[in-house]
Amino acid sequence: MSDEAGGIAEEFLSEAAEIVEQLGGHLLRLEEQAKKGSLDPDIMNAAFRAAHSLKGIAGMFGADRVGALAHRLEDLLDGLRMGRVKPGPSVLDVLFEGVEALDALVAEVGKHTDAGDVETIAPRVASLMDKVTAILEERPPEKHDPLDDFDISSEVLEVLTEYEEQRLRENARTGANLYRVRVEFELSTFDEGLMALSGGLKKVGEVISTLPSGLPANETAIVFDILVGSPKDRSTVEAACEGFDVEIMPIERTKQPEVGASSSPAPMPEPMTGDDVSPSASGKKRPPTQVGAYSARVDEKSPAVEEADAALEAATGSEEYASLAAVARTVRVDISRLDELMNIVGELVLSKANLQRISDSLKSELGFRGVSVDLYKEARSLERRIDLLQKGVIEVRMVPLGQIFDKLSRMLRKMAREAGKDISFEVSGGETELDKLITEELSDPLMHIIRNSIDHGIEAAEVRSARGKPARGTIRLDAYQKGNHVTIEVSDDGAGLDEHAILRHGLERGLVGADQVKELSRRDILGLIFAPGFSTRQEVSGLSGRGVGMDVVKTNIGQLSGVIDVDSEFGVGSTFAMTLPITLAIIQGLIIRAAGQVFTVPLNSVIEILRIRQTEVRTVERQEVIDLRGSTVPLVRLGRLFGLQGSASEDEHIFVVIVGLAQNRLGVAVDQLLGQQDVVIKSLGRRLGNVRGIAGATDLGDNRTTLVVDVAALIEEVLERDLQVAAN
Amino acid sequence: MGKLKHTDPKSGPFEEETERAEPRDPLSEFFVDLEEEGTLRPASLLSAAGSEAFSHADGRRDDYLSFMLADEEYAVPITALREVVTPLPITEVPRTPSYVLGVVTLRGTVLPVLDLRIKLNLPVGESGQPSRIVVLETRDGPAGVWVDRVVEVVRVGGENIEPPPSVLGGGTDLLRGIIRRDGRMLIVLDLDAALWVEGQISDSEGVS
Amino acid sequence: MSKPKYRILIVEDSRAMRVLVASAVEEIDGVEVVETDDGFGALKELPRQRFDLVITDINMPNINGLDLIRFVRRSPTHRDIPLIIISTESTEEDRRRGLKLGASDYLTKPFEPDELIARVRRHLGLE
Repeated sequence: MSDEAGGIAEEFLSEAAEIVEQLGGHLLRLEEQAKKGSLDPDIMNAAFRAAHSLKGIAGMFGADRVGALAHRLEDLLDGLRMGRVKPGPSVLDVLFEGVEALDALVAEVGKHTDAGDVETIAPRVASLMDKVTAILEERPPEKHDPLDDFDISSEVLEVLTEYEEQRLRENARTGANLYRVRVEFELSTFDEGLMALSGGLKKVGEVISTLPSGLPANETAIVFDILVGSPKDRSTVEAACEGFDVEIMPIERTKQPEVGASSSPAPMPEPMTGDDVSPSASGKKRPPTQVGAYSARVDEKSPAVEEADAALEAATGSEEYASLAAVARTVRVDISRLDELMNIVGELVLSKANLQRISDSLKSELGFRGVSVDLYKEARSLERRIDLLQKGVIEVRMVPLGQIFDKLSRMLRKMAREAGKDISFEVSGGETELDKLITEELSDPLMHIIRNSIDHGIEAAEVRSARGKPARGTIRLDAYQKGNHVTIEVSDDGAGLDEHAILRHGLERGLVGADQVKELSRRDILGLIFAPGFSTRQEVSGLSGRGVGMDVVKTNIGQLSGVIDVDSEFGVGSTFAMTLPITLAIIQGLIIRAAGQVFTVPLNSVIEILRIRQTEVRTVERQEVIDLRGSTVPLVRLGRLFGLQGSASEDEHIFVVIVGLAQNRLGVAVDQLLGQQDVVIKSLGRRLGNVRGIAGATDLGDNRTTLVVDVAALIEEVLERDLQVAAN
Repeated sequence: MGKLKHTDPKSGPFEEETERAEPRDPLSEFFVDLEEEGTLRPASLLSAAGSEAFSHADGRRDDYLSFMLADEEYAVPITALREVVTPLPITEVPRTPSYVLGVVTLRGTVLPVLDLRIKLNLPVGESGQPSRIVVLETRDGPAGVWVDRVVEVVRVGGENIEPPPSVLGGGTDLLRGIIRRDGRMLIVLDLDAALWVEGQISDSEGVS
Repeated sequence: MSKPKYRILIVEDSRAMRVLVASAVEEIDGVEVVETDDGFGALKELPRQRFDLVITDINMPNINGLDLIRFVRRSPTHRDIPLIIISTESTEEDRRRGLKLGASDYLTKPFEPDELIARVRRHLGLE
C-alpha cells in the first residue's frame, strides 16, 4: 500500500507539472490573442480547466499551497471565461506570475522541500492572491440577459454547464445565430466522425456543447446534438457540415414574446426540438414550416459512416481537428521505452540487410527465378515495411519545439521584468519538430543565450531611444527545418557584439596571437566568444557583448551533434544560430575505412564525395587543404587525426568526403568507401562519452562495433586548430 | 579504513570465517548456458538475492566473484556482476587511455572493455588461460573487464575483508581490501574507482 | 480470485485523480474498475459491458459529465445505473444540474477515500 502511495504521489507530481506547463501555454496563446483584440473562448476555457484540475488533484494529494493558489487562479480564469473579468495586460501578468509560482510550489512538493524556499515563495504567493481578489472585486454590473431573447428550452439549458451557458449567452449577446446540428454515427466510430464534424463547425463558429443521446430503436447508433453559435447564415453552416448527414435546426430569436406557439412537438426520438419552443414564448419571427422540414429528415436514418470517414480524411489536416484530437488521444510514453523500440528496429534493419545479402547472392547463384525471385520479393516487401516502422518510431519521438518555446517565453517575461526591461518576444516555427531528447537538452542552452540577450544585449530604454531604436526591445526565436537538420535562431535588436573589444580580450587571454590579427575574419573574431576561457561574467558584462558562458553552450550543442554560430552588428543586434540533426537515434550512415579501421559518417552531414589525386592536396601553413570549385577546404586524414596505428592508403587516389554543417565545410580523407546503411547510434556511455570526434557507436550487423564520427566536433576541432596554428 | 563497508559490529552467529557459497564448483552452479553464444549468465541472480547469502540481518556476508589478472586473484561483489562472456571482437576507440581496450556491443548495449592489468601496473602477457570479459554494472553504467580466468564465487563475511596492504603494486586507491582464505589472497576491487576512465563524463555533466 | 461481481466505470480526465479513485474503490471486494478520461470514452465503454456504477467528473473536454448523465438516464439500457458525481465546490451550480438530471449522489473534492468507498458500497447495495 505504501508503495502504491508513492506511485500515486509521483503520478500527482508529473500531472501537476504537466498541467502548469499547459496553463502557461494557454496564457501565452491568450496574450497573443489579446494583442489582436479577441480571445478564443476555447483557450480561456482550457486555461480555466487546467487550474481547475490542478486544484482538484492538489486537494486530494494534500498539496495545500498548490491547491490554494490554483483555486485563486481558477476563480480569476472563471471570471475571465464567464465574461465577469475584462482581460487586460494586468490580468495576464497576474496569471503569468501565478504560473511561475505554481511551478515553484509544485517543484517543492516534489523535493520535500526545505523550509527556506517555501518562505521566499510564501509572501509572493500571498501578494499574488491579493491581486487576484482585487481584480475579482471589480465586477462589471449585471446587464440584461441576452438569452432571454432566444427561444431556448430549460431542458437545453440544464444540460449545459455554467460555462457553456455563458458561452451561449455571449454568442447571443454578440448577435450570433444559434444552431443545433444533429448527427447520427455508428457507436463504434463516432469519436472520429464527431471530431471531424466539430472541426468543420469550428471554422464557421463556436461549438458550445455536444450532447449525446441514444436511439431507442438502434443500440449501435448514437445521435449527437451539437449546439453551435455562428455569425454565419444557415447555408454556410450547412456547407461546413459537408459530407455528414446532418440536420440543422436554427434556434429562433424571439424578441417580443407572444402567446400561441407552444405546441408542435416534433416526432423526435430526442426532445430538444420540441421543447425548444418554450411554453411562455409564443410567436416566432419565422413560420414554423422550418421545424416541419427538419422533422421530416429525422426518419431518414443513414449511418453515414462512409461519408464520415471521407470527411474525416478531409478534415484531418485542419488545425481544429488536430487540437481536438490531441486532447482525447494522447498517450504518455517513457522515452526509454522508445529507445528500446528503436533498438529493436535497429536490429530488424540489420536482419533485413542480411536477408538482402542472402537474397542477392542467391540471385547471382541461381539466376532470377523460382525461389530466388520469391525471396527477393519478400525481402523487398520486408524492407518497405521496416522503413515504415522505422519512420513511425522516429515520428513518435518527435516533439514540436513549441513546447520549449512556451517555457522560454514565460521565463523571458519573468527575467525581463526582473531586469526592468521592456522586451517583446516573438516566436516562429514552434511547430518544427525535433527528437524529444534533443529538444529537452536544448532548453538550457537557449535559456542561456536568451538570458545573455536580456542582460547584455537589449539596452535600457533611454539608451535605445538615444540610439534611435524603439524603446521596447525585441528578442526573436525562429526555427525551421532544412533537410535532416533544424536551425534555431535567437536574435535581438540590442547592442550587438563589439568586435574590437572581443579581439582585445582574446589577445589578452592569449586565445589569438597578435601576428594573426589581420588574417582573422569578422566571423573568426565573433567566434572567439565560444572559446573556453574567453570570459568570466564580471569581466564581460562591460563588453556590451555576450561571451558569458558561451563555451558551455557550445559544448552542449556539440554534444547534440550540432553547431552554433553567431552573427552580430555592433549597435544593431546579434543572431545566434544553432543547427541540429532532427534525431540522433537512427541515421543513414556512410561506411568508410581509414587507417585500417571502419567508421560510420552520418550521411546527413555529407555534402559530396570526391576522388582526387594525392598530388591535388596542397599545404597551407602546414595544414592540408584541397580546392573545391574555387574555395579552399581544410582536409583531415581520419587515421592521422585519431592517431591510429594502421597505415594510410598508398594509392595514388584518395576519397575525400566533404562534410558540412551550417556554412562550414571540411574534407575528410578516407581510404575506402564501403557502402551506405541505416544505423542506430548508441551512446558510448559515461566513461567514453566525452571522446572528442566520436558521436557514438553502432553495430553494422557483422558483430563488430563501428564508431560513428562526430562531424560537428571534427569541424570545430579543425577550426580551432587553424586558429591555434595561426596564433603560434 | 572507513571505506570498508562490511565491518558490522553486530555480527551474529555466522561470524566464524569465510566459507564456500556452494559445496560443489560454484561456477557451474551459478551459471547456465555455458555453450550458448559463448556466454555465461547468472542463473539466478534474483533468487540468490533473496537467499541467505544476501541476508545481512545477522552477520554480513556477501558473495564475490574472483578472477585472475596476471598472476593475482581479484574479487568483485557478485551484486555488480551482469554476465561473463567469451571475448568478442573489440573495436578500438581512439583518444582514450591505454587501459581502454575499446568497445563491444552486447545485446544492443555498447560497453567499454578495460584492461585492468594496465591500470594496476601488472605485467601484460598471454596467460594461456581461456580469457573472459566480466561485465560489471556500476554507478557509471556497465563496463567489461578483460580477465585471464574466472576462478570461483566465494562467500565472505564483511569482517573478513582486511584493508589493502601498502606492499601491493598499483594504486591502492583502486582497492577496497583483501580476503585471505585457504592460503590465498583475493584482492577486492573498488569498482567505481577501478573502472573510472580518465576524462569521463562527470556527474555534473550528465550523459548526452 | 473470484470473478468480479461489480464493474464500475470511472470517467475523469485527471490521471492522478483517476488512479486515486480507482485504487479506493478497488478495495471493495469483487469490484472491477474500467477507467476512461472523458465522455467520449464513457460512451464507448458503456455499451461494451454491463456496469453497476458510474463515477464521473463534470468538467471534462468534448462531452461533459452533465451530457453523460443525461445520456445514461435517457438510455433504455443504461438508465438504471447509479451515477456518482465527483466535483469541486466551485462547480456547485453544475453539480446541482447534475443531480437534477438524475445523478444518484455526489462527492466534493477533496474527499476522503473512505467516504467514497462508503458511498460506492451503498449504491452497489452492499449496505
